[in-house]
Amino acid sequence: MVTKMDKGQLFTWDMVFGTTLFMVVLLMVAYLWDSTVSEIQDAEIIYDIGWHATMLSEALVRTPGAPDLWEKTIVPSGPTWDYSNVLMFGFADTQQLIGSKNIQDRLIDPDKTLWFIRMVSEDYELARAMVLRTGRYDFYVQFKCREAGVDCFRNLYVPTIKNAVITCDNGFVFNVVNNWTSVSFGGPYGPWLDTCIVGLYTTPSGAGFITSSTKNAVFNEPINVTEFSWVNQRSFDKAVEIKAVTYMKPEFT
Amino acid sequence: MTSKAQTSVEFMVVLGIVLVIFIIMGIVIFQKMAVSSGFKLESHGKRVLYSIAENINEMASVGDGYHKCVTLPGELYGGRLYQVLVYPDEATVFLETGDMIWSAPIATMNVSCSIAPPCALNTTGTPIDVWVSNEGGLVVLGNHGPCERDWIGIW
Repeated sequence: MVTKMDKGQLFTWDMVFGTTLFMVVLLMVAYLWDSTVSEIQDAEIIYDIGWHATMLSEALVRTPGAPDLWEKTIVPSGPTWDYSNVLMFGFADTQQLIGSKNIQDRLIDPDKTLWFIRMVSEDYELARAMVLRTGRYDFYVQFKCREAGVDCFRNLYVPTIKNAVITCDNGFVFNVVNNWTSVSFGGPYGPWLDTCIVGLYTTPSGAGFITSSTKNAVFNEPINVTEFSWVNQRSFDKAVEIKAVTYMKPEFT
Repeated sequence: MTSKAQTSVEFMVVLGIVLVIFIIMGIVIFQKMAVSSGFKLESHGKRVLYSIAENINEMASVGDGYHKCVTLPGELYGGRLYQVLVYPDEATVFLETGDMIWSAPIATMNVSCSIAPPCALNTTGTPIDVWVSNEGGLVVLGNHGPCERDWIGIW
């Protein structure tokens, strides 16, 4: 006798539909979770870059570096220079104001600045390790005059560089003759004739945000004003530009 | 007449499908939670580290004689204890927890510690008060008792 088997009730279209719906919802939740975490991570990266950019640009313009006169520790090494005695970069002039125990921050030493430009142009990776002290990011530094038509790079005294041609990564050229700077224009990047850029430069159109420092030093001497800008980026789509206002100190023999 | 069971094969198939779905779901959730926890830990650790670096920089820039007290959290996300390390002649401050370590550049190499070398601040689960001072241009980290009541902790 053959026993007739009724059709099962578990394996139904209801179950297929329910399972499919559950899977779709699960995938959507997973996708939303992923995208939310990804957005938070992006925001965290931007924060991290911004922190480094702010901290390091401020450190560069507010400290003299280590040792204090690090520019005097650089010695020739074959066709290039030996920077191994430089422990930390800083542009602040070591001269102290009368009655002050502190370094005059934001008053940058052209000598140190030109050595920094030369080093970054010669060995970016070494400069990156010394400036950032992290392998995560790249950087570029931009020097330009704040006022259009003002040649703030010219006629600066640089005691440790007698005669040299120092080329920025965007083609801007400094000529030093008998310890005095003169400036050559006509680099390959037309719009930045009055700007020196060193480091890994990319278009700033990908900047995540821009902030600027408005803390200015007060210095009662007729000095040229320079804007020091810094962009620090991990990849082309994440960049932060920090502007720290500084003064270029004219030094006289 | 004995009826044959109707759910044996189908039931096993459906149960298998449900189990597979739950296993996949469990793996996915576990992975997401692991990523999320690691991310929260990193985020918390970095913020504590950056706060320490900012306080050191602040003390380095204000000049001789200044001091302040900061309160560090006793533990990081997930109840993890941590250690803050500063080495002489290195303009970097480190924060270490388990096998993870983060670093932050600081603006001075003149950092010392009234704690025995290597300069390491170890947390024990309770908030730790750290005094940061500028002593003749040297930034010194130390334990000099609890912060006063009007001090505001950094975390």
